[in-house]
Amino acid sequence: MSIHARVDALLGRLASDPQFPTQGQTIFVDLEHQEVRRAYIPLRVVETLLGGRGVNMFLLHNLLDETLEPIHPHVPLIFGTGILTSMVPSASRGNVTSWSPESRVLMDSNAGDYFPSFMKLNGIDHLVLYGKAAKWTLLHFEGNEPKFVDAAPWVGLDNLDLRARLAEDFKGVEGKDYGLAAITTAGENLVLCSGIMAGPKAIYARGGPGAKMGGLHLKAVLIQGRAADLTTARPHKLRNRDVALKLLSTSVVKNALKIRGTPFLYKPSRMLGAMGTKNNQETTWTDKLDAENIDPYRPGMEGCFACPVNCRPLNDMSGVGEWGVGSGESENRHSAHLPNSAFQAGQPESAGASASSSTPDTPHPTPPPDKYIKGDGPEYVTLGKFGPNIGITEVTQVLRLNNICNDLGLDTASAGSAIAWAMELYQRGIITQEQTKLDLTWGNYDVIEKLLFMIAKREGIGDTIADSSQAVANGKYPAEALDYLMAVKGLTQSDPHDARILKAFALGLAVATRGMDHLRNRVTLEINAKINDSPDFKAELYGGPVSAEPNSYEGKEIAVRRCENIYAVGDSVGMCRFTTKLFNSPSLPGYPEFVDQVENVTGISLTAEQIDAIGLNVMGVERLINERIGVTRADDTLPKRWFEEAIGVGPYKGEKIDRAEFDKMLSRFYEISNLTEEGVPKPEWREELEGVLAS
Amino acid sequence: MITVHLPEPLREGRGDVMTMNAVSLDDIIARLDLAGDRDELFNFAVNGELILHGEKNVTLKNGDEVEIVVAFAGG
Repeated sequence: MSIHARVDALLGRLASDPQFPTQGQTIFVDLEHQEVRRAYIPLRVVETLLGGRGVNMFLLHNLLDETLEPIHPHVPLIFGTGILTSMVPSASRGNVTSWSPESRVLMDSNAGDYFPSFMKLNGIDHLVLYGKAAKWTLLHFEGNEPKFVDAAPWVGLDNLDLRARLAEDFKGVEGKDYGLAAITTAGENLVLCSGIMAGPKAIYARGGPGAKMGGLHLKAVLIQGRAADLTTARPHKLRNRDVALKLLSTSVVKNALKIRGTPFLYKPSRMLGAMGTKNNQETTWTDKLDAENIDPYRPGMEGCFACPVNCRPLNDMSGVGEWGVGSGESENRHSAHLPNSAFQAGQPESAGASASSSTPDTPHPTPPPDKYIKGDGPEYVTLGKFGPNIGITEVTQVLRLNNICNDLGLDTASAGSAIAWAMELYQRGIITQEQTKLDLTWGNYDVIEKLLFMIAKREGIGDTIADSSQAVANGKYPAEALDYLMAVKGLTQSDPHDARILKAFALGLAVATRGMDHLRNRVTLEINAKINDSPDFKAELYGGPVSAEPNSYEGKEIAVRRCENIYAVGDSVGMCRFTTKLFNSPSLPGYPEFVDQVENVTGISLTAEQIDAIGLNVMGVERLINERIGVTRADDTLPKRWFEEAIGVGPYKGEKIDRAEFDKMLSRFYEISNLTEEGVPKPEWREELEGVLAS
Repeated sequence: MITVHLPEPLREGRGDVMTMNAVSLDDIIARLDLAGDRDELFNFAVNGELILHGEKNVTLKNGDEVEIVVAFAGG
């Protein structure tokens, strides 16, 4: 059945009027024929999957033709905004969903900043895009009315220049007047580790959304105005005040996210001996990349739409020392006096000094004063992926690579992992300099920087790395390269933390429906001693007994199940993961706040148990989609290295994943998740879900 | 004597490094009056190794370096 027939059939089953106050439209845009159709998601679907990520799955399940290739323009790209997005503090998120050209399983990626909020503010809950535009197109919404604009003036522009040009051309300010989701040249060139940029740094990152959007010849979606009537079913602002106060009083927000953001995480990972280093061949790295060493380069923090947290660190290396923040001022002064010479920090071999320490007499290399002298970020993922994972020891180099990735629209998790994979293959002689034409030695900064531009342009060895985890399938690496690919279900790991020690984390990475990604279900609190040492509290938190020992397999499935449910609900209401209960704290907003605000905003009344079941439903539908694509139990696994090679340092030296214990834990996870031994919904539940999907 | 390194959020009025006599991590929590401040965000590391559970049973010896580490997750 063609996409057009699928859309016709689906529209016949959707509602023609809003089902609740604040509900926006689901807009179907055929880019090939420039046709637009509209409908509303039926109440039964909303009550089963809420919105955002959940309803995106309903749409993908109905519109997916698994006989095509993921990049085919008749496989739709679906933007969704959470049911509370833009209306509740810290709920500024939305998801983009499709069949991933990078992993070849479910693609589902979440971003914040302003685009998802501008969807909601203009009465667009979901945007279903399909068909390849005859020429590069910018979809310009004024309110919820789209215009197909010839994108020729903007093709070839990367993120910084593109956003500056569009601000001029559309005479507005992003975030105030419009929201923008756009691809860079990497997306135009179908680079599989490219994302859709939702801001200067915010990115729909995982699974190759940039390539998927490029496959539609769609350069950008710009949503201008604030046209929607978002009158709520009941007053909600008083409860919003409670949510904001709760957010701001939580330790993780006031003591960490508002101060430095996520780079704090680098230190505990390396101290545990769990910092993914050199493609996870090693697990600890220099303290020179600890968060406090970034302080001198952080002029402030930014945030997403109407979020009181502001957790996104900015960076600026041009005026080092002038902000007077942090403990690195003395380092700054040294750095400021350096001649602006080679940015390459010493010899690549210096990266091998895993235990090297920073001292006030060790200045960071001074970067060249071009457009990458400042930017947004880095987050912890980027710090890990472009630090230890590829052998970089210098803060300024990580910051510059971060800024380049943001401009080129590269997912730092996938791009960093793909580079690390290439470097290990080079180290092992599986690929050689004769093939690469570049010296891919660990920590070779100049080559790494050059490589990023080559990836975006698909030039030379950059064309191979642009294929990310598909490089073997595409005939660019030999089959033995797969032994060193740190990926699950075709998606390389997001979080740089090596999970051989933490068994709940490991299980989560194995069962995540989009591949090896911590944001689906990470049981972060398993690294917290205070909670581990409070068994009753921990059991209450997760709904059952979970071992206090991080490296035990006992009860870990219970914690992963609870996290997976609440995170799926968070994605469906539009709440940021960082501020959702269990990801970073037991004290952050969770079901009580979500239930109250869903009722206030939409009038839909749910209990905590019902909303938890919705989280499970989202996972269930995702597994039904993956089943159609060919995913089986065998894909709920971990990289070979983690089963066969032990951690070599730290308090858990010798730790690895035991295959038999892992397999038993996986079976227990399936059982409490109402899944069969093959990892799909059991028959009775499957029938229920399929009934809703066909409703 | 034990050296204790404090993270930025816990430094107010204390400085970033302190030395004290202590025989356990529990001692340090009590001596620094951290029981109230030290919520789910903070872990201990002793001589560079992070303690993930059983911290009340961790004993200290003269010369140990204790660091309070901010631990959470990111994206």
